[in-house]
Amino acid sequence: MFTEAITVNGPEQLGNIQVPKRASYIRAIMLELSRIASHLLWLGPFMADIGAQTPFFYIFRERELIYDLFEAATERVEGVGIIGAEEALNWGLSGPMLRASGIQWDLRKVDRYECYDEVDWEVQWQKEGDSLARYLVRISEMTESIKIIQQALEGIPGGPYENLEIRRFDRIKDPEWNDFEYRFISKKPSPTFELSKQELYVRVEAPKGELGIFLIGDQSVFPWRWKIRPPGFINLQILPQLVKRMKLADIMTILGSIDIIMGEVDR
Amino acid sequence: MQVQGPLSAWLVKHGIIHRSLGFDYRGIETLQIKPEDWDSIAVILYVYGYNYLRSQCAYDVAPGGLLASVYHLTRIEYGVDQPEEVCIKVFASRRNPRIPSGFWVWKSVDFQERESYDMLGISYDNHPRLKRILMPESWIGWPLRKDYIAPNFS
Repeated sequence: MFTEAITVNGPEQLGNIQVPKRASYIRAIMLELSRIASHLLWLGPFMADIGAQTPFFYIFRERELIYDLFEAATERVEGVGIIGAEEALNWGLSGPMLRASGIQWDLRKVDRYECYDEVDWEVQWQKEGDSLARYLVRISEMTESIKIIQQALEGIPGGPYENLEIRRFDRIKDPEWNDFEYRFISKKPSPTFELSKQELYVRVEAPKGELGIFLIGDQSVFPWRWKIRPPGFINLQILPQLVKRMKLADIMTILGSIDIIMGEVDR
Repeated sequence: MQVQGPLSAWLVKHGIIHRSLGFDYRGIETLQIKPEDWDSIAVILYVYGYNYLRSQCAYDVAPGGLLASVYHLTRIEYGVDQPEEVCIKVFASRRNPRIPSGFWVWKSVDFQERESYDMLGISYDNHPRLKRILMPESWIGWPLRKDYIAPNFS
């Protein structure tokens, strides 16, 4: 907050603008909170250098409390980067970005893959479509994930966890070592099996959005085409439109709320 | 017996030229559209209800053969549980691969068509900024074609 304070002080003194007493008190409170935050950030690495590793993590918890206060004071996240529901569908967004714009689309509920329909959980969504909505969706998704994990741990069944029949073995060479007695005790080879000449588009609900694989098999071990649909790549397309006519400082908010991992964007 | 899916039957009823390619492994209807019809059929499908384009990809059908551009469409509506999906393939010739862009119907193909252009050389007409996106701009050649020879970097 100190850079903001000094940026404002310069023109004020030059233009002889008088600052009201209340504003001056508010500024003092903000500046002292900033001072505490900054000293906390010094304390962590200093302690770590001396030898105490743990305070490094605790300082971040204290700083978060201060950030919450800053958040309430400056409202940096609300109303920034609004995406309407129709637009979100047209741009092909997925994941938290789509659910924050009012569309209750979660692939875990729609596709019903793995065991998600045996667990009791709700789709988290918000209506507004701004950065605050995306933030709330992600936070509440974390709470839902904890519920899912607890229920899954209680309901996990017994039984095998590997499907060993599908492995290919070189039956011609070394017939004795590929016999029944020896097969599963020695080092297991990596699973290889033949893909038939079919094509398929499978998808999961990754944290960033819809992660899809388009697979075309060739009658061999290697596929003919393996195309990955990265959610970050598709979600990033909307950025130029969201940033138009926004303040320069809001770019960070908008880019952060889209949740990009550049590794999947620029493969 | 060629089993026709519901969308194919609807298109036939309205006299739209297409070819049904059967169903893929999960039972999703696959249709083939000609490149010159793709412009108008894209709008027709959008009006029919397919408002969400999940993924657009392109692949090489055979070395020396055609290039295919694949679009996966879904209908997202309030309260829908079993979504309808369809897969549209547009085949373009290898020597002059030009397909009309789907950008003006579904904006999500923006980057994906650029990727298909970059990797396979299919040029999309009326795309607002069709440039290479993953490879450097000065790269020559289409990396994902089956007849691509990778340059020697030693």
